[in-house]
Amino acid sequence: MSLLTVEHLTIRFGGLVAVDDVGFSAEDGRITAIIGPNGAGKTTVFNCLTGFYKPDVGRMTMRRDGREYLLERMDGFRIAREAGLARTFQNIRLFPRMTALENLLVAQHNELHRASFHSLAGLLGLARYRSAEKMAVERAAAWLDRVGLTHAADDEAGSLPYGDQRRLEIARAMCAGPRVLCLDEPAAGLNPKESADLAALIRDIKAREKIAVLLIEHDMSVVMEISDHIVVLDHGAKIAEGTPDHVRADPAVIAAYLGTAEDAA
Amino acid sequence: MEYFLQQLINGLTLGAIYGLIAIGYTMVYGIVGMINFAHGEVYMIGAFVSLIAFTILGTFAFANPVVAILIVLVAAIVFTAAYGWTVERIAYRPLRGSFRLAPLISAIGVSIFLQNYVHLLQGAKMKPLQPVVTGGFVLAQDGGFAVRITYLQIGIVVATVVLMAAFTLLIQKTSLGRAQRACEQDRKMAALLGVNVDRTISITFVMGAALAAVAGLIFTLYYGAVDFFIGFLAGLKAFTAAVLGGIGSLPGAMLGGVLIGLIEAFWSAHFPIAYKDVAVFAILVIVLIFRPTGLLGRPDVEKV
Repeated sequence: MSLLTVEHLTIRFGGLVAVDDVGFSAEDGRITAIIGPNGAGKTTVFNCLTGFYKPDVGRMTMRRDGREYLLERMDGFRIAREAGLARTFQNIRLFPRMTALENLLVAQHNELHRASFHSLAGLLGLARYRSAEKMAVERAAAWLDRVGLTHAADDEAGSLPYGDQRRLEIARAMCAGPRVLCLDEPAAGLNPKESADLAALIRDIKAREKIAVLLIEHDMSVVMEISDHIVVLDHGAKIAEGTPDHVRADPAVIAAYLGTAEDAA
Repeated sequence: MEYFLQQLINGLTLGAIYGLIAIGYTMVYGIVGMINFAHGEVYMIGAFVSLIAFTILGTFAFANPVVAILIVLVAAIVFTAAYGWTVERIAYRPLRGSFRLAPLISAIGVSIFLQNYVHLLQGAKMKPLQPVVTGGFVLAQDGGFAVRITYLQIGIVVATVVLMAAFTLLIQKTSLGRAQRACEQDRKMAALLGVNVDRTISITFVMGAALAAVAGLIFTLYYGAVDFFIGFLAGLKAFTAAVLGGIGSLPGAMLGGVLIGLIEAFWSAHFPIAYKDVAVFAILVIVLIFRPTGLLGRPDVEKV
């Protein structure tokens, strides 16, 4: 069974069908890319997975530790906490007035919160909270190191350069300890060197953390290079699915991206 | 000089009360972006709970003032925090995500409700309390004028400083404080990282109400009389203090509270006392003209 299975996902906004009967799955240790022209419904799928929208039809099942979680029935914070989904955004959503380190600590809020009896112990500096806090800081420091931002640990996240903010957001999502990492256009606005670094980082996460990665991306060089599986959406519907080589050769995909002969005429 | 010193002491004491209430306004504004106009009433309830608790202890002829105050403190915090929690749960949470003015109107409604509720239950008359803490020092003597600082005033300032330090630490260093700041900056993102936003907001209201309870207890001890209307003006002035210091800023709230306390004390000493509220609000207007974000507030820079 797959880690995450999406079936018959349909979302309507008024008369517009933004996502139309889409199904796909995500597996441990695999990078699944969702591609498609602008307005194809990619981000809407992510918004559904993470609880921003409730789908009109469909089921999103997450299997974790022998339990099944139906994402469409869960509150947003439980999707992150219990089902184990974390995501990043097209337009970066760090906490701009917190330091880089604090951003990573917020992502570990739940473990700290449990250890601190709702912060009462935190105030008194109990040993259990101290050690939990120490572990959280160590984990955050390790991730800062992996994304090359150790020097910026105490800088306000909002003041970091754009490329650094992108990597910090991925580090933050990883600090939440996800089973599925959803990346929404992580390469947007990056230069070729930064894109290459990012691709290396995502591959590294896949290899070392053994989690499933869902990727929305327009930069085809990144997509084709790192994806194991590609789902192509157009006008809300799935038009193709398969390995990069398979998708690249699919006539429906080429038509969606380049237009058909009649369109051109 | 002696007169100045005396008014400084009085002003600081008053400012401590305003500051403690102002923190409740500023924290709630920070996290949900609304002015909790019922907060003054929550403070008034804190004062009443203190009065009732003292009266009950008095009927048992409880003698030790320190122990009595501690017991009353716990009672006031528990009951007042329960009110704060309930108000948020009933009047604000259902309106979250509604249009921006809805919770504000709801807050005014809650404020009127609580005032009348206490009015009906406790009557309109001032309820007096026997002085619990008496005595003090004479700091300086100049002819017939003695500068006095009472034990109560020392206690008030010390308690306020300790609470301020504890809250600053809590917001800056604990995971709860980080979650609160995260909710303040991006509520949806915080939820995506597994932070229970609704509960974090509830805790914020409870914390604000607990501080208001301390302020209410202090008021009861300091002035020795409570009625159902004290929350209105104190609430308004504490709100002013929060805006003056920069709403959303914890040290700003305290600074604003102290400033307003001092302005009131010095104005009352040198100018017609009836105009003291006019002076306070006039200064608010002047500060806001020149520093719209308050003294310690951060300007919202809009990115283009």
